[in-house]
Amino acid sequence: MRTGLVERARAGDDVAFSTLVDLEGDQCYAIAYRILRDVERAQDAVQQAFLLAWRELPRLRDPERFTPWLHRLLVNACYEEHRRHRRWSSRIRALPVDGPASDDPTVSVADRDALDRAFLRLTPQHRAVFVMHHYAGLAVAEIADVVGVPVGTVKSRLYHATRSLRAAIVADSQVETTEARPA
Amino acid sequence: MNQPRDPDAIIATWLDDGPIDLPDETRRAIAVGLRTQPRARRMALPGAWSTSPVDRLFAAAAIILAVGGVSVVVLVNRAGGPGATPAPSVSATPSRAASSEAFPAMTQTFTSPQYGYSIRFPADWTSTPGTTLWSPDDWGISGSPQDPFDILQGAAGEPLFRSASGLMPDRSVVDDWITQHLTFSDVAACSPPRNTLEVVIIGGQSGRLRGFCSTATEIEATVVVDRRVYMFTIFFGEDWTAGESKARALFDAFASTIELHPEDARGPSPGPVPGASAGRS
Repeated sequence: MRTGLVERARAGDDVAFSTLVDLEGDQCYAIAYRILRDVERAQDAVQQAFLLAWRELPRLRDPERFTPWLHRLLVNACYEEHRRHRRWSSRIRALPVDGPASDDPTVSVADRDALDRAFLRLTPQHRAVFVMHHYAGLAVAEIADVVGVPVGTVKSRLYHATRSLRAAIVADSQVETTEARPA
Repeated sequence: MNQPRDPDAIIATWLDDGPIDLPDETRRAIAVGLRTQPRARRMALPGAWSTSPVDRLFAAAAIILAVGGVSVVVLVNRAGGPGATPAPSVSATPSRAASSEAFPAMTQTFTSPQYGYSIRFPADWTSTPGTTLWSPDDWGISGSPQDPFDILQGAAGEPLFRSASGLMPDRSVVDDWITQHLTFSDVAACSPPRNTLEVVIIGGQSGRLRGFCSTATEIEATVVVDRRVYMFTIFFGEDWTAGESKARALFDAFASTIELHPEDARGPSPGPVPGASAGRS
């Protein structure tokens, strides 16, 4: 069914393409938000990715590969949003990270803050690989295909990102323990 | 009393938290945008495909040469007969010491507190010992709450030199076991059987080395001493443009300083050595 939609959209059927937006939009948005940690920039990245997909779809040779191809456009749009934000944020004060607070008691506010800070220190390339693996559930080879880098680079980025986030949690725990200890 | 916390569970929960539904206003903006976007021409060939007859001639010649070259390589490889096993090349010395390469001097020494080896590294790199004991099935990417690997790292993050060692199970055949358990590639072409890999000498012991392949910019050597398998890996990011020979030279610069002390490693002692799996490799 999806392949048929892609073929119709490739031929210029905008209704078919809108159906693809309905099918893929939520997943793209969830991924973009987790890479950028910002609601508005994630919306912009998704919009840019779909509009570019519509424009470039006639060049897609294999309709079966629509989703990884779209994800590649999305990741590149996230990189571009990150670059824009960096230019913009150099002139203004950074705003707090968007997104609803977790109700899960296993993740404290301090954990969230520590993870947010550690994640935003990662490059967007590291973030994309981490989100694609741990959130979207893609295998290393699939990520390499999506982001267009060798498997070894994906592994290296995944390793760095995971290590940084774990270190943030551990450091945060040590601060909590120290603060809780009586003088 | 504090409960031990699982960082990976916390990270997973944190990652799941957040919006998952694309807002309607974005859907509408996309729908409006479709009407104003120019579309690419169908099935354009990659890059700017010249229509000049001269360029086409050059392109055709290049294709013929490329196909011819591949054919020659295939024929040469077949000369060994069907099923011939590629003979591994042998490095006579510990990793050809990084002679002419202008790498920084290895002025500091890191002695692994748990894996039974020491290695030297440049003054401006940092060393971080692993915080848990490595199990050879654990790649440190998921499933392990802490990092088991010893890490040497420069300020730029990559290249990154990673090391660990662990005991192989009883009755395992060295090459088979490492091929099965320590070959970390999703691409078959990048994970050949260990007994076909290049032989290297590290810490006076012979081991096997896997270099760059089509999808992996990393170099990894495994050495086995009395059923303790050492794994030394150097990762290069996509920003590494100096090529594989310089990458290999950097690996060799590190590897030539490695000394193995399996008797100092933490963990259970090796049990009785079965005939087929004993020895050094």
